[in-house]
Amino acid sequence: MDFKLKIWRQEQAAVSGKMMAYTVKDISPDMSFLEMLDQLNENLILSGQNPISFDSDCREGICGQCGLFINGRAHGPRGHTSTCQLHMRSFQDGETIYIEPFRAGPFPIKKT
Amino acid sequence: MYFSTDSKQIPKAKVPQGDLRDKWSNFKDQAKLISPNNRNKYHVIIVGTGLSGASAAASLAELGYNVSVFCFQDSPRRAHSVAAQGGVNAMKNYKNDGDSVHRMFYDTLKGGDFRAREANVYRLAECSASLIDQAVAQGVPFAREYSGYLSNRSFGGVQVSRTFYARGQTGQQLLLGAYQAMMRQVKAKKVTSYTRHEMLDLVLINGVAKGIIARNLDTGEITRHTANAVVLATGGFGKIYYLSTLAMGCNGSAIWRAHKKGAWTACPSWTQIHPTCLPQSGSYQSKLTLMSESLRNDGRIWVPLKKNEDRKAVDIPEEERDYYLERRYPSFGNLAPRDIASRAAKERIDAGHGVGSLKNAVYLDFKDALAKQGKAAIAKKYGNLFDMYEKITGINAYKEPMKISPAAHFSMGGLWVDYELSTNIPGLFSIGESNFSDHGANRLGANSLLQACVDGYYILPQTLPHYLAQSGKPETINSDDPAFLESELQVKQQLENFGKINGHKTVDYFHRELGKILYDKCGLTRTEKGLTLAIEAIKNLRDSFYKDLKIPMKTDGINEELEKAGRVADYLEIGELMCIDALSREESCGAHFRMEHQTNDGEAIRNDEEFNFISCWQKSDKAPVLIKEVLNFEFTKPTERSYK
Amino acid sequence: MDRSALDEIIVSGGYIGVNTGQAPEANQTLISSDTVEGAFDAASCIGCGACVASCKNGSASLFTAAKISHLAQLPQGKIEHHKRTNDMVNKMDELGFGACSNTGACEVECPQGISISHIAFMNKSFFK
Ligand SMILES: Cc1cc2nc3c(=O)[nH]c(=O)nc-3n(C[C@H](O)[C@H](O)[C@H](O)COP(=O)(O)OP(=O)(O)OC[C@H]3O[C@@H](n4cnc5c(N)ncnc54)[C@H](O)[C@@H]3O)c2cc1C
Ligand code: SF4
Ligand code: FES
Repeated sequence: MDFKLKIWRQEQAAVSGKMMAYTVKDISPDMSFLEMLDQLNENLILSGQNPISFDSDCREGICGQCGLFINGRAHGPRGHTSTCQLHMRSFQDGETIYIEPFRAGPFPIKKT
Repeated sequence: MYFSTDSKQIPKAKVPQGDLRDKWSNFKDQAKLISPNNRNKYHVIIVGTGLSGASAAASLAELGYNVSVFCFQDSPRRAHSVAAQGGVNAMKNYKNDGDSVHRMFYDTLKGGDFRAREANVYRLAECSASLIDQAVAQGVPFAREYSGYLSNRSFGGVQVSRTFYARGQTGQQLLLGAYQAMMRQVKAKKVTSYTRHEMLDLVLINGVAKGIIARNLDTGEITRHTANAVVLATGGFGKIYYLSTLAMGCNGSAIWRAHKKGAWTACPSWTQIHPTCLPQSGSYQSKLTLMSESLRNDGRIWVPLKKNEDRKAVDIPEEERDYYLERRYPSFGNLAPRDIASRAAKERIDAGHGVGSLKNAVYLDFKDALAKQGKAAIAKKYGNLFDMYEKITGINAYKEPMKISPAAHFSMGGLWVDYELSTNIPGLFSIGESNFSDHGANRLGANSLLQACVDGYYILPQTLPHYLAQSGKPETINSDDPAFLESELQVKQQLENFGKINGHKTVDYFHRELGKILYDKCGLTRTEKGLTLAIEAIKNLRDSFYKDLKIPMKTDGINEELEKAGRVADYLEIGELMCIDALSREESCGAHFRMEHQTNDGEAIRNDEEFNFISCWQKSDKAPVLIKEVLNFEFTKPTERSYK
Repeated sequence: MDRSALDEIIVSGGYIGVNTGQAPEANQTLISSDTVEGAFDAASCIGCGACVASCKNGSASLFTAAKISHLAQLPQGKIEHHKRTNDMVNKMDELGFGACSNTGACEVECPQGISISHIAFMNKSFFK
């Protein structure tokens, strides 16, 4: 599967951020959403670009560390599923996916 | 030679005198105390906020000591203890099924293949009952019978029901209990919590632990922290295998950096490879999710009799299925201990009976349990596990069997500690999974949540004050001491050097390669030839890491690649020591299975004559030095560990 | 993002005040299976903050109510219930989280399926 990604990039709380476009190719439907971002990051690092910062730890839906706003919804399109439990089979091939951090006044953004 | 042996050094285990049943009371009766009004003059650092760290922090703070806790996650509640599913063991004998402290002690010692200290194991069983009382008082919602009494289930390797559970989220609930108790002490201003801080070095002054160097993962700032004692509660390092049931951030760095300062590492190669995990489905995979062992209470494990079977599981008739655990181990069947179940699975997979797209799995089938007990009963017990399975694989396990396979899960090995949970460095303690203590060469299911809690709630709050009381008047430590400055400088240099390499490969590449070497050569089975090859391969990989690593340069602010680089640099050293440890032990015991030492039908041959000891590894400029703590079985007789 | 505000809400009172070593025998107080399962449903919150992020008011009510409800359903947690509720709700306001206007968005996004009925319970207990 291939996807177009629109990702909110912001270096730190004090500076302003913007949406940037990326593409990922040859994604397996069994890949988790964060594994898809891992793959994007590997490519960014190897080409000398700044990788995307996103939280995760347990990657099995229990620690609460992950949390992305995907296509306008907290933790993405599947209800009752944390970001790390979301798999690419929940998306359409070729789709454009919008990725932002959780936003709320008492949750300042660190880096994305 | 890959290592040398020092038979002159004899580790002091500090086991108290007396009968097994009296040892812990004897210790407490004689321990030195600090009076309540003096306790706030002492400061203790605890690195780690999992069950062991959080419970120790809460308990020490309640006593009146000042505590600083550190974790790399953004909240202490996210420590990986949160992921434990199945349950926690305790000797309550609520079932009246013949359980006793002695039986629990013996099950644990035998489960560990007689490679642990009797007195420690007995104390674990002895303190287990109070933990359940404590957790219930904190509000942990353990499962209950309809009558309102606490409920139990069975776990592998035992024939009684002593496991308490909170659905499939026992670790989460226990951890929240400990976390909340700790946060109550944050409110009381006895605990200061440093989240998003990673310990990068241990600082010794005159050979005594006096503090740590940490990095603030948000700002990149390197900070010095002083204390009268340092406790490492940093969990397991099974993530060294890359694919494991551990969290992304789990690491061996805290204990390894203490090792480099002189702390002994004990039996680092003893890793539990858990039989019931989700199989790998592709090279992109970042972790292998555990499916709780409790599933083996009702699920039956099998593979097709025919090699390279291509029919669907549901289409394979009963007489063409091989329930190999029930066949090989009739009395324990599907509840055979983990090491045995994992090896049996590997044996079938290697023989060509594996299932799934990569032929790397076996079936775990609920067909019979569903027919007998009904869907509602199974859903009540395992509903969240079935849901999780479906979320990850897209498969409904009420309709077809789960596919499972073995994955790295738990480190029996860790920092060597004596009976008082102190390492060989005065003032440095290690608790929970980060130490080597009660589990010997194989840990029984549901015993490690217990160990983490017992270490933190009951043992350390007795033994650490005993150390402080003996070490004289409370002193204030100067964070400008040369020892701190030197440590800080080294840490900064290392971080800067990673960025300067500017090669062509990411940290994850090196981590994945290391994982492959270890799974293949220092995993479920080991051979002399394989281990020597692995040692060379790891050395080469390490060389290429320092030549060809590529990470973003900056050391200030958030840089996950920099964090990972430090952890993988340590893994590349720990991995080598693991192989040396496995090579030096010419026997099969527990999770350590040397192909050279097995019976004709594939069972382990332990060698008590020559290897009845714990291997303590000391760092040296040349090859690592092996120091032996010989085990003394006063109250039991090591027997052959048979589950047939 | 920085979610330490959620920890601060717990610090303000999200616990039962028991010290290590004080606990009575666990089976001394019987608790019905339904009660425990109800408490568990609330206790399963993972503290991810999705409820806050999906709320147009930026309220942390679902998170806070889940903890209050978990502890209040159990006999051992009832004693401190009113003080706990007041302390936690006041803290939540002080930290700048918005007020709940019952849109129900949080419940939809919550990975643990925590029910907004806990919020009603919390509001009923507040200032009682
Ligand atoms: C998926 C899974 C399921 C399990 N299920 C069970 C079960 O059912 N029953 C059972 O008994 N056991 C189970 N276990 C084992 C058990 O959960 C662990 O052994 C136990 O929870 C470990 O607790 P701990 O306190 O030692 O470490 P952890 O909970 O792992 O905590 C480690 C802490 O150390 C911190 N840390 C680590 N390194 C650093 C550093 N360098 N700097 C700063 N902080 C650091 C982390 O931030 C964290 O706070 C399971 C384990 C896994 C992985
Ligand atoms: S969304 Fe649910 S799980 Fe996450 S913090 Fe809110 S209540 Fe807890
Ligand atoms: S990474 Fe732990 S819940 Fe998603």
